[in-house]
Amino acid sequence: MTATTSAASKNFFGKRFVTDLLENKKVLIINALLELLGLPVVSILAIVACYINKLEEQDTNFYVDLFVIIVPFICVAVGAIVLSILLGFVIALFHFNYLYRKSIVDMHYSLPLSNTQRFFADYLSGLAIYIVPVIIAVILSFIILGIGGVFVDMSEFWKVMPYIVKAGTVVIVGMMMIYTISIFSIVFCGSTFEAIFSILAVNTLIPATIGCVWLAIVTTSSYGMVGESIFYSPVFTATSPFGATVFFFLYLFEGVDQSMNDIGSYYDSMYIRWMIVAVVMTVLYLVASFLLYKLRKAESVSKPYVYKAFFYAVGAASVFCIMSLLIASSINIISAAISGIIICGVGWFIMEVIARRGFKRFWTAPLGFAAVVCGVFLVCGICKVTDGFGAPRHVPASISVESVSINVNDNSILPYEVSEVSFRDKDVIKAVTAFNKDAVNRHFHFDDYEYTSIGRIDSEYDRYDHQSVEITYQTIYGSTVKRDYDVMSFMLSDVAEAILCSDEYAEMAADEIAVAAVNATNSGQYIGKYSAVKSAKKGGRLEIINKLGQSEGSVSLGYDSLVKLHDAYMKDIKSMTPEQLRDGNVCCMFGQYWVLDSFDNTLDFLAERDLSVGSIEKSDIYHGGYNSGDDDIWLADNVDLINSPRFYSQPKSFFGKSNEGRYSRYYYDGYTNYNDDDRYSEIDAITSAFPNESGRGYYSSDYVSSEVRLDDTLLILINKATPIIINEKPIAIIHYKNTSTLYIRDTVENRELLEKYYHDN
Amino acid sequence: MIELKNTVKKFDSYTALNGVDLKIEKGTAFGLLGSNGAGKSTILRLLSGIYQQESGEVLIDGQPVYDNVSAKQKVFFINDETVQFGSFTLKGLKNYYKTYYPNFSEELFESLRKRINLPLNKKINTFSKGMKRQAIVIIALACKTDYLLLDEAFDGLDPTMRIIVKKMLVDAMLDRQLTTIISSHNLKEINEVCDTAALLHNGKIVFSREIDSLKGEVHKIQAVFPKNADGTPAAYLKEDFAATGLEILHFERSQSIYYIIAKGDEDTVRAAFAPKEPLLLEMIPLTLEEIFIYELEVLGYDSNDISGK
Repeated sequence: MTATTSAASKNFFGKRFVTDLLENKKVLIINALLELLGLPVVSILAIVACYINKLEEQDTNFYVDLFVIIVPFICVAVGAIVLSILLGFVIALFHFNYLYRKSIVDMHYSLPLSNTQRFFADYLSGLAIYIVPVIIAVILSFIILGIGGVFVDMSEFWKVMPYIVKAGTVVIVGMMMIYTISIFSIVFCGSTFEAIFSILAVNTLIPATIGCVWLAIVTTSSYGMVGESIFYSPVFTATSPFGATVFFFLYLFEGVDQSMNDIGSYYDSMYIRWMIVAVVMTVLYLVASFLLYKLRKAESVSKPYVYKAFFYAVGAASVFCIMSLLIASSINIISAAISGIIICGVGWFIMEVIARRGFKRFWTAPLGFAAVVCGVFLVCGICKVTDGFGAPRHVPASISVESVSINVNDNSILPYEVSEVSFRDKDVIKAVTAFNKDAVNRHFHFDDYEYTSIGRIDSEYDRYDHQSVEITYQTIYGSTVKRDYDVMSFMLSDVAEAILCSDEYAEMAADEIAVAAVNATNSGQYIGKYSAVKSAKKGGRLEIINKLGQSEGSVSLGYDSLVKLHDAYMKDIKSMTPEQLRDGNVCCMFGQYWVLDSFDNTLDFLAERDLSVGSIEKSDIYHGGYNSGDDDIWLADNVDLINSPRFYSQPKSFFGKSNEGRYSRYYYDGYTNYNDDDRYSEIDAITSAFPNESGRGYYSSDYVSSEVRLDDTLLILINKATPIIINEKPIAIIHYKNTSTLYIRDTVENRELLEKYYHDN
Repeated sequence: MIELKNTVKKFDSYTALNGVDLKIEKGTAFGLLGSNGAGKSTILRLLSGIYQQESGEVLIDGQPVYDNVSAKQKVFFINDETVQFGSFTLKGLKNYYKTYYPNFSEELFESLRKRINLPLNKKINTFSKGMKRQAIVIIALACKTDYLLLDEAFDGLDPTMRIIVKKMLVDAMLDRQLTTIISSHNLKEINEVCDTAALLHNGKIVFSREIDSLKGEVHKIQAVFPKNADGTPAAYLKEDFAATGLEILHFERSQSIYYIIAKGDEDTVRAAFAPKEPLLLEMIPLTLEEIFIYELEVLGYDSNDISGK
């Protein structure tokens, strides 16, 4: 008996699936037509574009305005795709119409089907009507492109294809989410108006609520929080169709572009995580829909809301979003709250009248609204009291971090390209999390730290130290944590050391040197990244500069030599110890990437090609100076020596609790008398690893007190000066033109040399 | 066999069925009678697995119905709506139901369709209300289920069609022991088609028995009694008759003529009246409609009260 029933049950599921397809065949045909107007048309346009480009390359006189030809077709194709995507709402409404149409509920519920069979047969048949035409269109597009590829050279197009395919899968998962979330919305309702309304409400309120919670966190406790990071979080992008749309466009226009240029695209690396979260969320919506579907009763059809809690959830979310937006965008919180209550109250009562179909037991409506408003204020209050639910205090444990990227907006600490690397090196991750904890502690335990206020700031000897740091953690749990701090450079000492000694930095720096060399030989044609260099099989031209930024010569390198240089430099960085980094002498540089005296492989490579990396001579500096008349004494107006510099920063502004917004930390009014202001504090050490000094103010001729006498002692000091100083206070700074800043470390020998120089001059 | 055991069905705070016990044997033509909102349609929707009871049991051939495919497969429910099939043609609707009912008979469907001459390929929403009813009835019969539930079955049918449809039902009952449960306000038709009936009021079963025995058990009595010694008409009260053990459903006196509706077999009634030596004692069998009215009157559902008389 059981076996018979089971067989019959399976049978009916399939039959329901088929009858549903047949019943909705018109929608299927419309969707298929829209899909055929979409991707296949785009594929044909891609072939045409490739063909015309090739013709233009072959014949310079040939020119066709592709834009004018393609745009109308693109508009039709995109319009068709958008309409096809929006059909998801319609298909869901059609397939589950018996949940909100009283006249047909008996017909569907009395059929010999279990609730489970009915739900999944309806769900899957609707999904098939929605998605199968997309899959057919994709297959057809591949066939068209394949055939086109036989006749037209589409090699450039195929390079982009993997990213387009990934973007396409984002669309398909997004479409599945649209369809599933629509069903999830319909299950709550028993009438047509509410079914349509709830689809709109759920699709809007899920991303809006997440966004507004984030807004509340950022506005109530902004320390280190980055507002825009919501767009990087799967919590926002993978939980709703709107979020998926945001992710799709960011992936398509930013991620694909970055990936094509071999830049470690955040969106590309996030793709797998996004897919997992989006699929899990879609499954969760499906499971929730099914459970609610099973729980709801046939007689609930014709009630506005089958689950009254849904109405209050929608109302509460709407009130929360409106109130948080008003409060966040207003200077006066009280007036914003009052106007928010009035606006929300009117909206609430209108919705109550619609939901109740009149004024039945209407006295409960104000009570509901009052409860919701109290709830919203409670959430905001908790957010405020807990410093944004503790979010700004949260620093991911280093073991839970899969990778970290760090952007220090000052290339005296790290080159810009470092910000494009996602570091998986454990030492880097530990250093970054430790730095992050230090920054958080300085804010939340401000009184535990002492900062010595300084009075007068001398423009010649005082150097402002400030680094803006942006950190993005990818955790092993798939979440993304983004932080943004203003700090003093010494706080980044361990981070800089860990990064510069890491294998990932070694690979990145070697790649950059090779790319720069290749680009030096390509007049005007920029080659993006090292993989492009490899595929181009082109050699390059290597320019060697000294630590003052002066050219020491250049050499043409074939492809094999370039690879050899790349590998030698990478090997040297990988084998560099922290001690060698701190104490090493910079022999020469490739662009901004220094070669230390411990870089045996690189130095051997240069020696093999007779490229000298000797010490700096007076004649090197002569370019900007002149002979005083004495053969040994040169006057240089392009060199500045700052003895006993004082470093200062604004820790009270960076970490003080009184500063509520990030931008207030940059506050400066033109009338403030700096000499009386105690916000500046002296700091005992700085960190710098590259010759530019934008973070401590560009070198300015205003700061040069006078011409510098370039005697032998100063020449020795210049040769001993280094751009790399990690958590130390230099005894002097040497500026050369506006290109290089070198530091004289605090050693006995250097002190003696400096004393001698001043004594002699 | 269909069984409802202490079945309770509530719609929010409203109790539609309040502990209903009902047993319907296979092959029965069962009429569900009752006032508006008594719970007739609710019982039919419980039996077809649309509704789920709050407590108690609803069984078809010993199996619970709700969410049970094999039990639901034995039942075909025709509700009082006709708009739900509008988008189908008759052929499309037939194929739709044919998918779910494996015993569907194309031959039976064709023969029934020809009898009432319904077009196959026209959209049902172009049909009249009566034609829509006919369409779903012939599909229901062609599905060859064991149980057929009809809510306001003959609503919208013209007199000729009523006869044809009734004939179709009776034929099916005779041919294959089809159990039919009909809910209708038209007691005449229940009387004609059904052999058993149940009366529902306020979610409870008032009675459930064979219609013939029901008719034999309730009598309309017209009686005249001798005058008193002083020449005044005999003045008996309802209690005088109830004291004999007779269940009086209705009691009315006009001068010396008494109109009484009483429950019990004929001999019991006559025995109860005999001591008062009636000059005239006429017993008239009641129609189902009269039984319906007088039974409900006892329960306080009096047309005079409702109309404010």
